[in-house]
Amino acid sequence: MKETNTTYKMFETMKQHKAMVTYHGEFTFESINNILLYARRDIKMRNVQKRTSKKVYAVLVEALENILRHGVEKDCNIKTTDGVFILYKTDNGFTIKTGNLIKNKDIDKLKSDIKEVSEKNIEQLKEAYRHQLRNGSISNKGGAGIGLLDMAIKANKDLSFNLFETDANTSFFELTININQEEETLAA
Amino acid sequence: MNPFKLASTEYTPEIVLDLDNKELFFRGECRPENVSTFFAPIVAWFEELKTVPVPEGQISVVFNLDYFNSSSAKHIMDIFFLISDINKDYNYQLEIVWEYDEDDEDVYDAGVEFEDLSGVKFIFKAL
Repeated sequence: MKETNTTYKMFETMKQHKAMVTYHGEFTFESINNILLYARRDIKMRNVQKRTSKKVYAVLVEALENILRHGVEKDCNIKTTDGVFILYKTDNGFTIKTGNLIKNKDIDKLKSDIKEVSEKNIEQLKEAYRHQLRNGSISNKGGAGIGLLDMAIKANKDLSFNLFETDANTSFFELTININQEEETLAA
Repeated sequence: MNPFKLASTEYTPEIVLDLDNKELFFRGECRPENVSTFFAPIVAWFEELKTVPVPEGQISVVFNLDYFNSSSAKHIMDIFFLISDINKDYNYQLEIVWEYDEDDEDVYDAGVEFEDLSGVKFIFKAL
């Protein structure tokens, strides 16, 4: 009975918060493809402007790829990591939330990326993106070092981070990104 | 020169690079599992242009990318830098036709950035 209540509470919470697509578990290239497929279908059904749906999709890909690229790798024959992902419908647009574990030895780079995104305005972020495009190189993790910049620019800087240690070896990274429909309409 | 052809998947574009028939295009979505492996043969094909007789006249390279991830953007940028070198140093007349959905300002903006940074001539086509 208790178990049923727990599930019901989770169901109600997600419903209340208008969660559209949620995923908790192993992140692989294949599971990301499936999440994107469902998310894209669900966004389409909401009858939103095409430019909004495209923006949400673009941010979704970067956010999900970031989990796979930077999450603590599990000991497995394919690249996989644990994480959580939620796509919400909000009154003004969409909110994407992701969470994943990251090794403490890898957090310095993430911290400096977060600092950069927090301190720069949109124009400075665009300039940093251009600089990376021109001079950057692909890291051994397969990233171009511009995923976070790209998301921040697309979300018009409406994003927040949270990074805290969970134990001596790992930290948890939370990312929240809002894509605002209204602002976009005004800007059009 | 041997053409390079690749069928599309749900996460990689259809690619045709056929110099003899002057048919060169990238069409679809681009977020390959391993970007470096995916782009290596494409870069190699463009590199090979430096070693073959240069065809006369303009050659359009059509980019119709519905979506590309940020690590693909870095590789696409490198292709444009390469095209810029090939035009300058090997007398090719390669131009980019950047096709974009008229509702998609992000893909359009990306094209403007690529043109600005590479110095290659872009023709923008809203679809």
